[in-house]
Amino acid sequence: MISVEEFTNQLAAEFEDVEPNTIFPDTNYRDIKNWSSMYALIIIAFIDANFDVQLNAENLKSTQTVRDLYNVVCEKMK
Amino acid sequence: MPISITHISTYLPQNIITNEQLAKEFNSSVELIYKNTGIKQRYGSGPGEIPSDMAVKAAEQLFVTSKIDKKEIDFLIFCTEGFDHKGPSTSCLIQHRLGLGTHVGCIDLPYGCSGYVYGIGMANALLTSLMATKVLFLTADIPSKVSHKKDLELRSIFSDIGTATIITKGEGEQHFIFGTDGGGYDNLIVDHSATRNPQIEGSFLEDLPYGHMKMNSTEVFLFAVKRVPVLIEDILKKHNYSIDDIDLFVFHQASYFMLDVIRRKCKIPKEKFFVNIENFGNSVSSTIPVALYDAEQKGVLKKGMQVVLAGFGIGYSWGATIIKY
Repeated sequence: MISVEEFTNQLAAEFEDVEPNTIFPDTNYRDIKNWSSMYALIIIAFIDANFDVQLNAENLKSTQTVRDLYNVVCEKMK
Repeated sequence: MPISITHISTYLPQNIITNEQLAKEFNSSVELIYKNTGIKQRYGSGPGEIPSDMAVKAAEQLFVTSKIDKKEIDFLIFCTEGFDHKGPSTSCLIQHRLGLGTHVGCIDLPYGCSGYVYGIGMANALLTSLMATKVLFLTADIPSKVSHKKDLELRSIFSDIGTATIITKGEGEQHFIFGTDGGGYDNLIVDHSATRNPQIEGSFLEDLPYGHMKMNSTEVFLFAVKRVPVLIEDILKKHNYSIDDIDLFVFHQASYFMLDVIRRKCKIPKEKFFVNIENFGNSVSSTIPVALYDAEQKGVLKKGMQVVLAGFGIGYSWGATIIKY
């Protein structure tokens, strides 16, 4: 598994409108500029395509930061 | 390329459904509906108007503008998920309504979002096997009539449009990629519309005599953003092309947001990626011909351009090809 920093960089690249270097592991991803429910779909698609891990709405609800997401992915990959 | 798309016409019903109308009806806001869909307006068929009516109007328009003699048509393909009857084939009825010759072969094609690519594929097979020389390919659907009146998501995305395309033989080889995963069938389905789950008497479905469209938008989104980039990579590889060799990408106009994610995943530059869902909505199998026609009118699509077409959705079903316009 990649590092949490690399995970954050890859995830940040999925959001076109987001300025570079504004998302960090401890960023609450719902605070991303112009956040909408569509962004949640981007996150689910990103994790599905890159880590073959399928998250559901409940998994997302239990997370706040990018690091939380990373930890859920690591846990599900075990 | 062995097929040549020589003419396209579209039939847009008079009833334009705006975000203002939907916002008022659903106590929502114009901005929110636009933000969620990227659509400003969509089309609704008139009372009693069904897909064959729309396809006939598009075809009649095409015969006027193209000046093609109806006698030259020797095959008719009609793509819809809303046929007149379970039998006979609706294309037979359309042959008669359009006054086409009795030498015409007719096929119905019951496909949705991948239907235009499937229709081109069938036309290619007919033309290269010398079963036909000039194919009239019609598409039309009435998603508005299978969307529940309280379903804002479906009603804000889908649109009723008919199109007509003339396809003839060109030079060279035409390649296609098709694919299917019927395991996703119930994530986008027009239920209670045929023999599997007939209409239930006394239920709300009585308001939906043609069937009830249901969509699990999260699953459909995940299917498309995973599948379509692979589809595009495969069709380019089949031609030994890169994105640089392509002048324009015209995909099924599913939703603005989905298209944008797919475009970025495929690394297609914005200027090569045609999107017109804002003013037309998602008209199922009609989105690609509507986009081709619109792109040509706007001067974005010119004769001789290499264009990637890709359809994907209900089935799950997908297909792609590259045409020289």
